[in-house]
Amino acid sequence: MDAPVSIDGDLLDRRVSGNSRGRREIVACEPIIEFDAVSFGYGSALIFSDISFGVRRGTISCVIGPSGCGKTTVLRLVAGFVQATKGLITVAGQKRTKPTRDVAVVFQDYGRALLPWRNVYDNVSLALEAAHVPRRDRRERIESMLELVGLKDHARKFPAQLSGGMQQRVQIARCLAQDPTILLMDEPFGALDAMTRAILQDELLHIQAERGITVLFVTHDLDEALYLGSQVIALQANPGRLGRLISVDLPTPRNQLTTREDTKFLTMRRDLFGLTHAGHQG
Amino acid sequence: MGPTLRQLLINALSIGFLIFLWYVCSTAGWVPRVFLPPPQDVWGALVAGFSTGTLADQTLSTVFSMLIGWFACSLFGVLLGSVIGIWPLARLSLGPVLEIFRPMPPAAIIPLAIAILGLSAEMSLSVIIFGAIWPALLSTVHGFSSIDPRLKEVGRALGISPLAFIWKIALPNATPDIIAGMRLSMVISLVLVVITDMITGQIGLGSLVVLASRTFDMAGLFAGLCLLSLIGLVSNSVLQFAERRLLRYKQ
Amino acid sequence: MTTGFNYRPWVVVAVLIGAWQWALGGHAVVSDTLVAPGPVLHATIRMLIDGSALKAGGQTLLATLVGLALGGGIGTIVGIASGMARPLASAIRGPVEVIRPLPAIALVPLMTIIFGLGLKMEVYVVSFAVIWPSIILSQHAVQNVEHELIEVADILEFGYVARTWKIILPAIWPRLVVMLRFTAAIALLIAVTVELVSNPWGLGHEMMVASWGLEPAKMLAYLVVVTAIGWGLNWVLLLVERMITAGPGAAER
Repeated sequence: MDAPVSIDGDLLDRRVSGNSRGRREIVACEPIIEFDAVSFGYGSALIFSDISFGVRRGTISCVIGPSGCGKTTVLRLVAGFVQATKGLITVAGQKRTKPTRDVAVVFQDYGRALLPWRNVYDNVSLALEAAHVPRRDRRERIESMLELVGLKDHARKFPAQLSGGMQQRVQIARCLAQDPTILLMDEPFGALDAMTRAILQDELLHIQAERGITVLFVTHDLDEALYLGSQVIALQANPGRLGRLISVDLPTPRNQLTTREDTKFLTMRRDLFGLTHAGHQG
Repeated sequence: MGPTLRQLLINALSIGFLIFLWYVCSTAGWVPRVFLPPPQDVWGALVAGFSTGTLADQTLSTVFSMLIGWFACSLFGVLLGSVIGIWPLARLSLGPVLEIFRPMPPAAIIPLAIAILGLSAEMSLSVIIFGAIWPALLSTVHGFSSIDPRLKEVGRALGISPLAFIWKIALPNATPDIIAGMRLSMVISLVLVVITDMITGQIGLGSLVVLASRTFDMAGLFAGLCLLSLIGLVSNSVLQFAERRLLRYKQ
Repeated sequence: MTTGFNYRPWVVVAVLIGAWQWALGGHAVVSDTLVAPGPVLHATIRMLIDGSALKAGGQTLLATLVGLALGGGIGTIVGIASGMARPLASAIRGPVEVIRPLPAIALVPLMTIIFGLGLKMEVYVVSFAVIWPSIILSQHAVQNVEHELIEVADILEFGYVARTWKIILPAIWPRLVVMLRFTAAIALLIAVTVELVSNPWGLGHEMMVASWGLEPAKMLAYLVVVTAIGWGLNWVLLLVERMITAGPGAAER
């Protein structure tokens, strides 16, 4: 398989090796995540077949689709928790076979993904302990992570004492502490109220811009996908397959008000609406 | 006044009321004295028993046996339980086998123990350990075998080594179950101490109660019962306190 | 996880029984105290056929069930009442907390003085053991009824009787059955223990007699019967529990 399926033709040939503005904006030819004719099923049930796409380094790609299309499965395949039935999945040029520390996962059910007996500080510390970071280096890194997600003043609190949004921030902080190249997020804001969701969306954009991480973001919310992503991967169900692959060239930085009123945003939204809501009939 | 303080006060009042009722029932003769001695007689028996030292010996012997038995059960139960809970082969093979013993009355091994070891202190200790180990063992197995799959995935994504996973995630996750099991083991340990005391006649509150019944020393009998209640109450409260401190994060 | 039939425990059981058989060298009776599995099986079957297991088992079960009904019944009523009325719950908490830790067996000498040996004594000891968990568990069941249901009762201006009958009882019914499984096990346990320690009837007593009489096969056979009854009780109550939680219309599915 040659060039990744992306509509931004002019970016394909550019390879920027240095950075002059202190932000990592390396855009390589090869995508960092690549799906090549991937099918997945277990037992007699086929979840999806023949899905191909690429995710460019340093960008946010959003996967949307109706229930049952397999979007969470796509994430779990990249994470390395499961193996594809057919096709090839590569991350940074390597075939994906098992979870590794450079690919971090933010789960939707944050309550179950945090250790309830550890406070915020120690939960983030877990990532550094796993990576065998020496004790004396941990403090600084943990504190900078907490600063980044805005939880510096809550370091000694336990998850049970935090709101949903704050718990999710702890999980994000722990994932960032892994210093990952790729961040996988499985409907991370789905269980939160609209206001918290908007705040966290902007925080994610800010963090991603600052650190240049590649993000693969699964969501059922079309508006969220268009707001956050530079690419939208729209899956369809019955049978599970790739519906559309759309490059989202809305102006950056994104803004909750102006971006969502942009004509291009509304056009794309109308375009994809039928796709994401089709599966909800019958 | 805080709610817990208020409840403690209410407790004191209601217990006081109960004692008052007891006093009235026995002194007024509503319940025959041969069945229910007045509270003041029981208090007298307690004071007398402790000043002569006999009650102190028996109480200490009971407490000591209970603690040793409980400690041994907890140690073996948790160690064995964690191995079985963590190791899938052991869990699948032994788990169901252990479940067979769940409905077996702990005291049912006494005839077998007597047959093998006779009416001895060794018999008592082995009965206590074999009888009281089940809650600690079974709940430890459960605690280690019921780890949220999400936590396992977190462990895999973070690249935590298996040993680190057991120490940092599996063990703290199992702690609530383990402590609950240890509390139950304590209760059963006390029960088995009493039973073995009653059967073997060795020094302890169990045999005290039996002896007192034979001589119709009702005050002494009730003194023994009160002390047994107290031992159960104190030991359970201590463990409950320890449990609350360890599980403080559970708001 | 493995799918299909888990054969492993059966392998373990077979190995254990085999080791038991091998350790005792295949002799029928090695000593006054140790015996091979064969004679135990033989004794169990004989016991079931000639009715001695049934007789003793019946006695034990009778004391278990009557004690369970008495202690469990009173305890559940008190528990439900205290669950609905907070002042009552507050008031009984003190006495319950100090009397509950007393091991029920310690009451055997006292009960023997009052009632002599026999069914009554055993029933009262079993009741004592069962009443405290019944109070506490049924109280918790009532207190854990979803507050939305209570609010519905308030809006419909239900009085105490209607509230109990139409809302509380149906809501806690499944939890009461779970509690029953738990308390039934305790009742059986206490009954057998009382018989072990003193009461001259029932399975516990027969076990002691077999032990004193140096009949190890019989003793273990009685142990098997006791465990089997415990299993049977649990299984029956589990069935009841499943029927209740499946709800009406389950039969049609």
